[in-house]
Amino acid sequence: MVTDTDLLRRCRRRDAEAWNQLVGRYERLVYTVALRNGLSAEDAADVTQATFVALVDALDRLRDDEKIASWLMTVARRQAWRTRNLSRRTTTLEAAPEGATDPFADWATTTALHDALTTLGGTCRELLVALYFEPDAPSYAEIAQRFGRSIGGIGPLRGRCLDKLRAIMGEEA
Amino acid sequence: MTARPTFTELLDWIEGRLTDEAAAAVATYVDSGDPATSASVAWIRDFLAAAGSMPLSQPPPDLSARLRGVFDELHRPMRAEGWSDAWLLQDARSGLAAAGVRSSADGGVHLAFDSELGRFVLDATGAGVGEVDVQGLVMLAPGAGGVDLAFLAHGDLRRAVRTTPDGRFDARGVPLDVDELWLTSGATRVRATLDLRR
Repeated sequence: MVTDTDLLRRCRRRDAEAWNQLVGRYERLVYTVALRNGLSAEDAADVTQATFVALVDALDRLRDDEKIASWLMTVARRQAWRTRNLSRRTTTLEAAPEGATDPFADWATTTALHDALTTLGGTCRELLVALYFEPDAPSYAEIAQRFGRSIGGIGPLRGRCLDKLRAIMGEEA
Repeated sequence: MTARPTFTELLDWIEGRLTDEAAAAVATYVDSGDPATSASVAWIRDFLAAAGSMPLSQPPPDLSARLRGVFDELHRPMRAEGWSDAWLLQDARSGLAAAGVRSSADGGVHLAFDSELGRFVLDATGAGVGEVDVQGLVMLAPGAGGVDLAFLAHGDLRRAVRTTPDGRFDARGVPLDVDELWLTSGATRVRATLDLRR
């Protein structure tokens, strides 16, 4: 599976297909950060687009390609704050949206986790995201079908992948 | 259980995937207080809590399509179809500042345009060597959503930024050799010729 570093390198050469893959990997994460900052679906979509435009803008200035997840999350959060502040100026106090407090109890841990998933990459990343980050908690049977593996192999593989993730987070701590 | 459980066995135990007998054996070992096992259990629990605290929401399909289109939209050489030119209404450097438009006395560049997307204004002020910071406003119709802006020099993208939903934008460190600005909102695309040098 192609690494994010490779995709970013290709994006710098204006490879639209690499861009599409990068969007596919991170659109849910960016959209989720925007939603969890108290935005409506419409505003979250706008913040998501603004974040990816910012990525196009910053392609040649990114300091660490392996930290792309936390970079996107941080930009999305700032954009969401900005949008929320704009919204507050046009709504009454009584109508102010909930979620005005920071919804991320431990932002550093959350971003470190997603950066570690980026470093992990490949099938392991995709498997862990599917098993632990999808809201509808797909069954092993669904996962096995999606990844073209036997059901019996999913459990041990997810254990090995999670152990690798732990090692990566230990190295980066 | 006398042998230390593997990481996967601990994960299976925490997730309730073991038989009663196997789970009891793992529990007994965990209760023995082995530091490495305790650390693994604590890490798995923390991971599950962190992952469970932020399930990933699926963006609407039209957003996914727009995000994929952003890259081409900002890079692709301008094509004749679907584009229109913005026309300059005001350039404070000309000394013909209309009422309400600042003069060039503060040393910045102040431009106003009209276009198919509506009027837009921008102020460029000196930043670093050969660069300016550009702030502006696209006067969007209510509910129009944001506009993607691309600053280009000789056809190459130099900076890209999306306006806020109310049309404001802020592009830092724009090279002075930028000579073109593209504005895109859905299928509407506008091109403006720029000269940001004082």
